[in-house]
Amino acid sequence: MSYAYLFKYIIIGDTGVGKSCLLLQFTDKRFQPVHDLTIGVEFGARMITIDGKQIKLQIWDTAGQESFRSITRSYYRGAAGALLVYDITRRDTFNHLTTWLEDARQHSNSNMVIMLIGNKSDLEARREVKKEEGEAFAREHGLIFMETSAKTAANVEEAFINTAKEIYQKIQDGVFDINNEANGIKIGPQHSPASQSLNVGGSGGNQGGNCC
Amino acid sequence: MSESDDETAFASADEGDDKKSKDTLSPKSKEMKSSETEQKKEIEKKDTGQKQQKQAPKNKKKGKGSNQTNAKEARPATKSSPSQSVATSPKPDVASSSNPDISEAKKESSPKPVGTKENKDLKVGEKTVVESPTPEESRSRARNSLPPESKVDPETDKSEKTSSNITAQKEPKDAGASEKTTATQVKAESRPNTETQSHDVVKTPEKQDIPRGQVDRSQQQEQILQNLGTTAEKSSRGGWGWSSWGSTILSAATNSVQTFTHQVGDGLSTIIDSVESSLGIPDPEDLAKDKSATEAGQSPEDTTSAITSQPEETVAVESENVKTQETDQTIDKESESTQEEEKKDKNNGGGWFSNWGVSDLAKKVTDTGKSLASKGQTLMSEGFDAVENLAAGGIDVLETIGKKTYNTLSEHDPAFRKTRDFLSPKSNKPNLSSVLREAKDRAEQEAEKVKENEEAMKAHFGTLFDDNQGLAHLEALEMLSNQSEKKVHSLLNSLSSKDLAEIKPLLISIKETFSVQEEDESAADTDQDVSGLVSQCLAQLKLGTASDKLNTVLEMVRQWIADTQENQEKDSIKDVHQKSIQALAELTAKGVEQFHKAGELILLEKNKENDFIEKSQSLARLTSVLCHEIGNLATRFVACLNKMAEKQENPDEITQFVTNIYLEATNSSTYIQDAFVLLLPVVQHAAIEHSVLFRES
Repeated sequence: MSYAYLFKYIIIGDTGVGKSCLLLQFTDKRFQPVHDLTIGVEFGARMITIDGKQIKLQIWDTAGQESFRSITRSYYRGAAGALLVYDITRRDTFNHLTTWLEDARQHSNSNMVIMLIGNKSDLEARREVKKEEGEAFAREHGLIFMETSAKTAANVEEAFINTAKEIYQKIQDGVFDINNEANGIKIGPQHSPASQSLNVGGSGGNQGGNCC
Repeated sequence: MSESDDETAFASADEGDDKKSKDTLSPKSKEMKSSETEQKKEIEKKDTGQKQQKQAPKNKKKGKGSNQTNAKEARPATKSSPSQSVATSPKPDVASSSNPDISEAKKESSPKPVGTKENKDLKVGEKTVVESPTPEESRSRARNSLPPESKVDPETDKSEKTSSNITAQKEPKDAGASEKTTATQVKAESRPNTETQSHDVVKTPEKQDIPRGQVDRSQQQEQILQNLGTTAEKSSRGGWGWSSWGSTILSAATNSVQTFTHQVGDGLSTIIDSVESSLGIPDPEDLAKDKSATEAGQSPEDTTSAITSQPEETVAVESENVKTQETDQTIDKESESTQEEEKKDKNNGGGWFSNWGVSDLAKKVTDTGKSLASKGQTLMSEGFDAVENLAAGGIDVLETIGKKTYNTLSEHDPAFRKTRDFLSPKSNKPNLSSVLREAKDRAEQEAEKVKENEEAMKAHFGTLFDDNQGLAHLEALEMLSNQSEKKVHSLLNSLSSKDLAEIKPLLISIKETFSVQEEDESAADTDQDVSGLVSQCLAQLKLGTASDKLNTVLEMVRQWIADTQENQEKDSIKDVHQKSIQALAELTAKGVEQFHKAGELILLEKNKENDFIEKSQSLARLTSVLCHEIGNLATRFVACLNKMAEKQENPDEITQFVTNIYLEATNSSTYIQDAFVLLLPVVQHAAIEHSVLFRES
């Protein structure tokens, strides 16, 4: 129940690319072929373990519709990681990536880790965007890249966890100030080790006292 | 021969006493007060010892670094010219005035003036020795000056340099003496000690001494020796007292300390055995063998007690004693002095080791400096007593003892690593196990805590509210609200005064709607159709959002209450409490989510017929309905609990649960009202945008 860190993620991308399905697959490990349009933002949460530490991922699944853009922009702030999703069977979703990226960069903190995801990799027959194109885009903009399938769950876990690892590494490197919640990272409630150290010190002190 | 033996015995006793006086503590001085003659004699003895010591340091200086054996020999001696001068002056007076023994010790050596002369001569001899660069040279010089000795030395062979070194200590004296014929006799007194074989020299003193020495010594000296023996015992008791003190405090330390002392004791007895076996054998070759045997005995001693450098010092002291004993041929006295020495050394070792054990255990051998200091102090105090006994001692002796101790200790056991290695495992063992035990206990306690926490989490409103994404929606709504507030300000600033005047009444009325908390209880009949009211409110918002989620929760909660009323037998109070909190949390979360969605949709809706006042009123009504419903649910759950409590043996038990339910119900209402208030800027924002958008069209 308790966790060391809480990371806030946002999932962004054109409508219908499978953002909500990715979240559902990650949190509930299930796939819903027909999904309601997301209104504004929906939420999901899951615990993962990195480097022996419990980390809670709180994922904000934003609406992809153009009309919601003005609202969803306000939710970018305070995210530690972003999943930028496109549909490999629809080239236009890939073409809109630059706009999404600009939006994300503009409305979030500069250290935000962005993972580029080419979803629906199970639909190889209808592929319009080559994997190499996605890789090239990611390389060009300094993103992590993965192709996933919310339907088969391929790479879904990896996408979320790799992003978390990158964030964790940035914390270790001191890039993220974990005390600033605007970075999308919160420190979880933890047991204080004070009592432990007190006990150890006490026993040592007793011995020393006797001898002197 | 026997006469000379007596003399030499005396001399050896002098030497032993000299060392003894340094080591012994206060008991000794008390003892001395009891008999003045003894005291004086002691002083005398010290003087004699110091004469020898005087020369020792010179040897040391010469031999420094070149010969380990030399260094060892030199160590026990305290030298220092001031003490020497002091020693020489009082000695003749005391000797002449009261103590026949002393005069005897001075003996055949003509009157006092001659004695002082001797001292001067000795100094000269020393100086010349000092000038000679190497110990070998001094030795050879001594041999040259004293033919008998030089004869002996070649016999013993070069391999026995160690033994010759020992003799070399005294040879300078002899060398000086040989130059002066008057002094020869006195020198002879000490020379026979080392060279029993040199008959010529030995004979002279013997003849002169015989008459007086025999009688006086047999009575008084024995008494003295006895006294010394008891003193040694006393002081040794003191030493053991130290170790036993340590043992009472630290049982762990006891074993190590005792082992220590036993080891040292064994080593000493080994030496003493070899020494005793050598007694009565005048043959120089045998003597030499014995010496080498003693040397061999020393090295095992070193290894057995390699833990510290202390044993080595003891050995050094011992080696001198050995030398003395070898020359001493009176067996009774010899054995007595041996006993004394053994006791003394044990006392020494015991005191030191117990000190070490205690301090090391105390500091876990981390504080080397302190332990070193304490050791230094022990030595210092011993040295201090010695100085007091000397009466004329002086600070130099103290200083030298301290320095030497420090050097010896740090030289042979740098940072006391050996001591640490020896002691630390034993001292650590109980610690480790206790630490492990503590860790285990702690783990158990934490596991219990986790269990309790998990239990508590099931009925923890905040956690459940968060699990239902209530907090996330509230946070998102807050972000939306903040953004809208900024927009409202910027829009108002951009509006012309005319437009501003037009829209102002609308904004004010919206604000009024939000600030007025409806308190008409009529709208909230206890048995109102909550689902209908909620649907009605949402319909009035005209947002097209289904009220599914809210109504689903309301339906579920109602079912729970019905179930609880039916199954009062099955459910425990805890279960009911848990369910009530869960219901409240879920309903609140869904309510907040509804407000959040409403805000988003209000912002998005671009409909000309939008009536923001009506929307605001609908939202206000929804808030009121939800808050009342929350209160209702709480009351119903509490009613269930009260019914159950009637059947319970302890009705007071539910009090805390009832309190908690009401508390969380208040909490729920607060969350709902917070969410509602957050919508104000959102609605205003939407209203302004709407007016701007449709005025132009």
